[in-house]
Amino acid sequence: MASAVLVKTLGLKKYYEVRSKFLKRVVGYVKAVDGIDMEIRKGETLGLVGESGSGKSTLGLVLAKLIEPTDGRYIFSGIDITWKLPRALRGKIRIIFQDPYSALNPRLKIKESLVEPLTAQGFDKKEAVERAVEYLKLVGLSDEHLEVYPHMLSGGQRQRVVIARALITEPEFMILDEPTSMLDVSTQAQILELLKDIKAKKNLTYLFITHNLAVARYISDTIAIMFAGQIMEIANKSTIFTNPLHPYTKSLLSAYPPPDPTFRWLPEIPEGIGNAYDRYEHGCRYAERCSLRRDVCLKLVPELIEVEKGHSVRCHLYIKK
Amino acid sequence: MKPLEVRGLAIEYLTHRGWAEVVSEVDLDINERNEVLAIVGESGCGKTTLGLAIAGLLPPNARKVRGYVKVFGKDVNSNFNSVKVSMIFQDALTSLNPLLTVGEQIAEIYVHHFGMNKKEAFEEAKKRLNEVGLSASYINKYPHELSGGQRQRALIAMAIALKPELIVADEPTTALDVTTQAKVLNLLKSIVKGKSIPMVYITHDLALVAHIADKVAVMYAGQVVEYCEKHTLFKDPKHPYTQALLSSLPRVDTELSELQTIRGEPPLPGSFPKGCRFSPRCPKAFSMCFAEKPAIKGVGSGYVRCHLYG
Repeated sequence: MASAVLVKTLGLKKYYEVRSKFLKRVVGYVKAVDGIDMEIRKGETLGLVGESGSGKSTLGLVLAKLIEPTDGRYIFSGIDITWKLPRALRGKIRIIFQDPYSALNPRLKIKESLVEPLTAQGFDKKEAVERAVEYLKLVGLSDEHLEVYPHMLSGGQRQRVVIARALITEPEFMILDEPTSMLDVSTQAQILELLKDIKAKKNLTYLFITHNLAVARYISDTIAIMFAGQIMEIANKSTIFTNPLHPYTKSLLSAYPPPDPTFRWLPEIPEGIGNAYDRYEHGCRYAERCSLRRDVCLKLVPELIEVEKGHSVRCHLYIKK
Repeated sequence: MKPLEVRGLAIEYLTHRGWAEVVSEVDLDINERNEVLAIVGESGCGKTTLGLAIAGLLPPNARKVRGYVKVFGKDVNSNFNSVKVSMIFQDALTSLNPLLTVGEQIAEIYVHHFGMNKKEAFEEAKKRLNEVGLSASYINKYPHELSGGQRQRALIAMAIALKPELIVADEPTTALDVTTQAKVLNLLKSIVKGKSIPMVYITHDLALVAHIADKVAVMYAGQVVEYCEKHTLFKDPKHPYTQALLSSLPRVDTELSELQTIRGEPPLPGSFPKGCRFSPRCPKAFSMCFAEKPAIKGVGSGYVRCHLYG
């Protein structure tokens, strides 16, 4: 893959203030996203995998420009858009959420939902409707669906409408935040196939946020494992599954079995609570749960270092002295 | 006597268009005391309704129209008080009372059912908490103080408190993270094997079925379309729906270049197709499938509901 870098972040952070009940003074921060350095190349699908509370959705919102980061830089096709999104880039970054039921306005017909982003950009009504039909067809629906309301559609069909609405502004970068986790297995397969197909047709770049390792393995080119606001490991998808290095990645992989009864499933899950943001000012955030913890893990925050080409890990075990 | 015997069960729900059948002609068995029967299906296939019917907990807007559910030979509907079935639901937070501590909720069971005094009941509650991997200190905690996995453990403690003859677990790990899910799943498995309490495990996740179940019933549109031993199901699925479901699954263990999709959407109760209910979506359907309802045919220790195996 020699294509150009489309999305690049440097030390991207999003902290939420924690205020006291009395006087509302700031007493601390929830470090939901804490120093993300990553690159997504044009045409790549980066799978962002993490458990609930790992900050993966917050990172998605920051990258979609729906919330402002606390610190860091966000560079999109060579332009710094951390604080301001130039007019020319509007509509080039779109996000799709998990719940297709709440993503569509129940009082608007599908046509109105689809046309709105276009009229906002100054299209005239007729042209906009033509384009809406074109995109409905692209996602496997038809012009019959223009005049219906969301409640008349199934979950899979609604997610298709949401995808059409995102695509209609011709984005280059799509953030997909658990787009299939509310859908049934057979519908999930349809939507995943659709997303793959559209990506090839429209030359898109995806950030695919999911907690499902099987889905990540299917859709991604590269996989980043997130824990407590930080990327713990990032590598090519086959490397993540065949040669995981970080203890968290290993435990995560052992926690989800393949659909194969002959597989001897022995999950190795350490005790301890999940994402502890506030408690780890010093040291590795995974240290409390880690079975390979050493003294240094409690004192020094490990850096994300490249151990082999395209494979980086944030763990003291792999830092050479 | 069999721990569970379901024969010809059919259940209807009252909708605004009248009664609609959501579960039809279900035959299932659990033969051993340490057996897990998994019921798999997509949303709306009737798996939760079937679970409620087995536990004798059908809501007022539902009714049994045909068939029976027997737990150790006793009909669930006519002997509600003597049949001991516990149910574990998906959402632990709504299953627990937010105003009572975990200990009070478990102890309550002992006070009401065995007439224990409060002190004895709390001692028993502590033992149950230990059995599900929670220390005795959790007895004074309120549900909101617990994590998702801990709540689910507390619920399991309540489910085993009455020494049930059967546990029905409806998607007990769906709301949990994968690492917590693995732990809760192992706990449930150890309860079935260690205490010899048979379990009906309802889920949509075939990967979990492969590891927790002994036998599997695949449901589609209110019917069990395939019922067999788990190794048979994964090695040699018979019904086209089971085959399609397995090949539409993204996998953690291999890299797939394409997922098989099942065209269309599952039918809704009240508008099931004539003939085989899967026929409009089935890649192997032929003329008979659209006209005649398939009956079940015994294959090995289970059965399949498909005209291909006539």
